[in-house]
Amino acid sequence: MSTPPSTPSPSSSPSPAPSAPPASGAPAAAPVHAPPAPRSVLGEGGASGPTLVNKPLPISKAGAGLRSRIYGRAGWAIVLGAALVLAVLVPVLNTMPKAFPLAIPDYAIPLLGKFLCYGMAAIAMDLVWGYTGILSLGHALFFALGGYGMGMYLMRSIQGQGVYRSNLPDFMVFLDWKELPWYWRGFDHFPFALAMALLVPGLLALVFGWFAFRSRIKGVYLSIVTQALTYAAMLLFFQNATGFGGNNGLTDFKRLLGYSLQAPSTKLFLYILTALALTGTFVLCRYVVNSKLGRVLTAVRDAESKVRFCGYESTHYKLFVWTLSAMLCALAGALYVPQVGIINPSEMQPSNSIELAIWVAVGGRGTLIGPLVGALLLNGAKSWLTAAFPSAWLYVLGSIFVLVTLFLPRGVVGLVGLVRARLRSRATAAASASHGGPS
Amino acid sequence: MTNGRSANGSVPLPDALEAAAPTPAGAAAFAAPPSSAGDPPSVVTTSAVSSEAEALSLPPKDVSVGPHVALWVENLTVSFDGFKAIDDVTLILDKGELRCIIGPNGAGKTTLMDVITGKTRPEKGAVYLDSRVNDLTTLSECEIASLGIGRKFQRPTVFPNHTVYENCELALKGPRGVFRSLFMRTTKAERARIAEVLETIGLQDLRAQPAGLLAHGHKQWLEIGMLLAMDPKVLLIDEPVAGMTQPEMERTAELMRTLAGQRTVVVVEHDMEFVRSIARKVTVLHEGRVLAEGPMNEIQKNPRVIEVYLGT
Repeated sequence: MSTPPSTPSPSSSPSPAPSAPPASGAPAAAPVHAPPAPRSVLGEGGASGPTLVNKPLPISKAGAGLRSRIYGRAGWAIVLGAALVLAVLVPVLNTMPKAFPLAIPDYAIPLLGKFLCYGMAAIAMDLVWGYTGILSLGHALFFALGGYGMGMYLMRSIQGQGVYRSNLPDFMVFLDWKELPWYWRGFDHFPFALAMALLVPGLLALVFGWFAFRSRIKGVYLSIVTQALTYAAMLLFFQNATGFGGNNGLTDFKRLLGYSLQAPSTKLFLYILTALALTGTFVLCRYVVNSKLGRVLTAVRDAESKVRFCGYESTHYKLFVWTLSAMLCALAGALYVPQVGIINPSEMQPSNSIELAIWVAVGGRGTLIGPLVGALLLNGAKSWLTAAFPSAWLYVLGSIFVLVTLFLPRGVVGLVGLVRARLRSRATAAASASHGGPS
Repeated sequence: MTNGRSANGSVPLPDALEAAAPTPAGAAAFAAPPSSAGDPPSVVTTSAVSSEAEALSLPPKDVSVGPHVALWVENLTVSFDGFKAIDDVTLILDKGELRCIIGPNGAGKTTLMDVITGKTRPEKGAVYLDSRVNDLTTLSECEIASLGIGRKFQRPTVFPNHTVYENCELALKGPRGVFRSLFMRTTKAERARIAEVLETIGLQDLRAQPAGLLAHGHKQWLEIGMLLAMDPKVLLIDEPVAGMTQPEMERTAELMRTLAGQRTVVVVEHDMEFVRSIARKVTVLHEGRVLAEGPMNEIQKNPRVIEVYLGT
């Protein structure tokens, strides 16, 4: 997540409908406090054109069964198997001697952990975008706020072992602050810090969502407002006076709960924790989208006014899933920071939120596995390509996004479903031809 | 109804209630006015008087509008930028009544439905369900829906990615809260109810089909089925047979007739043949006003109606 803000430019205007009128009111509606924020690649084309924001997903027959349980037996087996691979097999391979061909080197563990955090954020994003049709371009804000919450605890736990040997974080000493600002109080207690890391982004999402959804702001307009929100927050956090380390953010962490963050064992532990949190997130989201609430959410995405006329207060449903998604993102951020060792305002830059949306789109929105696959694939490719061909990455990312938008509306994962649905429809066609059933 | 008001314009509503309440077959009291129906000028003048009197003496809010009245639309005016889409319309629907609303394009039929369901706010007037406590024009769409008003849109609106079964499940009467639906499981009784609805609309074989892939006519039926599952007190149905084939239309007419009796049904329709096949009582709207009201055969003879609508 450290690409310059120019990320979207190579892939701009992937809107599949050339007939869409030029963004009529959309740019004008951008709030005043966000000057030239990089414009969203996903939202251009005006409210009436079928952009990626409001383009309906193709109807798939794959999910047409009657859903009641979270998973069938086979489903649970797959989830548990994947969790075991991530949380047990990878650590075991890490402890293997270096000569072992499949051994995973120490440096790869925090990298994998970072990817899994991105995957969690992508799943959370999909909950609001893929399932509820709200394209947020500000989700990196919640991720970063969760990270700041954890970062504040890590700063407090340095306790006199920084450069200045002060009880205060180094940057405060540098700014000649004499005492801790009130909002830093309590962050030397881990449970409090963790609770804040989740609750503050949750509360922000709740308040923001309440106003946005109650005013029935939708589609591109909502996307623009969310992007403005994260941009405003970034500008705020860049200020030294805000008290979060300004430009440099929070870094130079020493230990977490007394364990050194430099020790490979701590890194491995954090990785395992992340893998477990990811599994938990996955199952939780599966429960949510599989419940009746999940069906209401999809209904909101497809025909919101009809949902209202059925007696559901769609605003409440959107608010619930929006807040849940923000908190899951914050959890991912809180796990991310101790593994990468730094959190600074550039995590909130608009391009990060856009990249998050791209992972979801490439992996396949409206599925839970898709965003995870998308996040892992694209970040893996990014790690490799930015090392091998540094200048090519943005072009590759852009063209992947354009191609997926044009040819794979359900993303990489949708490809599997597409093949399966085609086979199934061929089978039913053959069956109905034989006994003349309804088409 | 309107005549009664003009006779005693100062206290319009209690008058109507007196006339209505002691009559057990109250429907007769309301179904009477072919004379007023054929006389639009009197409608205009009386309503002007009564709306003036309204402001002076509203009856107490807790007075029931009468045990047999399901929906009461009172002096409703809606204007869009000065254009009056609905101009002082008063409409009273009895419980179990099947009412057709007809009228040429732009008569305000769909706007009337929009106001009743909370999509559009009126400039003036009120809509009451059951009693004078619930003025629907102050409530939100979903509050109105949970009070018991269901609506079928002009274009069939179903949830395309949900199966036929799930569409009915979502519409099924029950708690609508966020956390209730997070932990809710459908009970046996609910599943039986859904099966019953699917049978009524004849889509039980397509229950696992995504609704977006249904044929047009099937979508219309599914939407009616969703209304059945909601079990509303009042059903508003906008052009149910638009784009249907003849057999589909006959089947829909049958469906409409089974619906009426148990609940109040309002049908807005262009297709006169369909209206003739289902209607007992018809209200004709023209340029936002009630032009005539009465049984279909009388409406067909009404010279004003013939002039503005049927004749053309």
